[in-house]
Amino acid sequence: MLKSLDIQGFRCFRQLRVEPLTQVNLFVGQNNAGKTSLLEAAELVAIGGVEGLMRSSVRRSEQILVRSEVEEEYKEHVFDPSHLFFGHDLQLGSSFKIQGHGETESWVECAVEHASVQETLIHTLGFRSHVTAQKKEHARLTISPWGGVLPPPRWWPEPSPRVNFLEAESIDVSNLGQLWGDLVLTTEEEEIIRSLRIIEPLFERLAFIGESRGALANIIVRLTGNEKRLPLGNLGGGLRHLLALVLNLLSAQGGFLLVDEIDTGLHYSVMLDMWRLLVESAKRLRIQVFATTHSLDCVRALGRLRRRYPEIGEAVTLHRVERDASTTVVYDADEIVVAAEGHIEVR
Amino acid sequence: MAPPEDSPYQLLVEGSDDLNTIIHLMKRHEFDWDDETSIRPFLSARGGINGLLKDIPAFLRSAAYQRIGVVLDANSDLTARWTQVRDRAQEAGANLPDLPLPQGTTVSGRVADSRFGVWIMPDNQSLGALENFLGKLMPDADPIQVYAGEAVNEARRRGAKCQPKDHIKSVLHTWLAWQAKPGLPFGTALQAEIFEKDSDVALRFVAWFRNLFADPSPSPRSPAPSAPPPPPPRDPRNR
Repeated sequence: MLKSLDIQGFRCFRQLRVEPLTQVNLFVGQNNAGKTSLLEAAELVAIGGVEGLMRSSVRRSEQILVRSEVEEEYKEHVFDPSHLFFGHDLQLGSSFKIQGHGETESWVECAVEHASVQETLIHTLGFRSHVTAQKKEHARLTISPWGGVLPPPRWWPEPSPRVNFLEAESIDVSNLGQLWGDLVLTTEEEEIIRSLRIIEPLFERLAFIGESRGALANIIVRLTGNEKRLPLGNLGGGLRHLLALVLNLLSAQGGFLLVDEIDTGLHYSVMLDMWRLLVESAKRLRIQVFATTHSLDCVRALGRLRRRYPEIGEAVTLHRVERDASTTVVYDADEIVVAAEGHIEVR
Repeated sequence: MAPPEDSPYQLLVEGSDDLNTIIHLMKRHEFDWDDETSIRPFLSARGGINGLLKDIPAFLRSAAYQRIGVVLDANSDLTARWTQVRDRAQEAGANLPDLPLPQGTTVSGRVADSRFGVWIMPDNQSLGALENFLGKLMPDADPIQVYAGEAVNEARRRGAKCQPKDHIKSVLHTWLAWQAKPGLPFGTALQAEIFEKDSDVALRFVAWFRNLFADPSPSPRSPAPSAPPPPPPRDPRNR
């Protein structure tokens, strides 16, 4: 578990220290303050591999349209690395570093360097990381003359333990089938059903069917007292979001869950139960959670969580990310209660 | 319309007596609480001194507030009370001086261009509370004012349970009971002009308040004016 993070030169952060981090961390702040970048910094240092850079770039559509010289099948992976650096500055010497401090130290650093290939001087992206003794990487990726980077052609396994990232607008249902596959018939399957009852009390069973388990139409559910099975898509966005949240959460045992705009599609009346589920599971399965929100209801529900279930609420810290600041503004569990109950704005 | 709850200016007080006193004192000093063309502080009673102290850091940490004022009672230990406020403020990144300033204290807040002001009732220098502040607003020439004091002393001699430390509170309420409309609460009594509005301390308070919330000059430390501000304050020709 990370206890603090130091971010230097990554995306919108010249220099940022995030401390303390606890089991569950909620980030608030204005648009463009860097909340998503902060999740990505945590993701990078948790994954510790070049694929972390790619995940982040693909998520933000920072791929480059490539020319024919790049093999077709890797086309979608070519990305513009300049956006990873503070000020979008891709020059010789540009660098970023992310350090995670916990029981062990982990770090990722990346820099634009010179390399000589067959007596020609080229620019490369030097990538070094250290997560554990087994999990470290030293890679050098060529930056093409048009500014794109093609990562080495190889298969990227899911990191183990998992580092799951749930995006804000679009729920990527394509990998839900895979996550479901990891959890079905385990003890956690019951937890999934229990969680979905937060929104739909009649929820009975869930299945993924068909050849491509990615499509929303292939997720079907059964509700108590209803003869017919229903496609999940029929049941509303909140349930879909909650399912995605729960699958990404429960499959991340020992790892990380990063959620951008955790309140998406959730009515304020279910926020407390959502937090309870999330924090309880995170503690039980040793998952560190980083989430963002713009919702006041979402923050206030954390205050109620601490009041009603003190030992669960204790595991949560709230951070406000402010543009150009070198630290976040921190509210511990009790300060969240003070703000929530006193109607004091924290966002 | 009154200032909205999410106003960037906030004034935190202990209880509803403080709240209504400040609203009506400022009204009598021509402060227009309903002027929607200006940012006006939202006043909130924080549930006594403990609630107020508890909330100070959360307000100061917020990015939503540019001006935060607190008004609280010195009671029996001004230094101890000041230290409590200073520690709470420091926790959230606002640095108050070692001692409160007689004209009220205003410093820069944590965020750029923000201000944090503290007024300790009655006058930042004496022990006491809101009632001591109001006691100075009883008309000097009022013949029953002295008699109210004597009556409270006499009542105590005859077994009334009020404590000597609360003498001024008992006197105020006794005196208010003897007005044409008996027993008005403090705020209403100010509005009804039973209290005066221009004691030295009240003028210092008004200047502190205006400096914190309404003074457009960039300096947060401009000293309190010695004369009462010229009415009406929002007319640009008079500035």
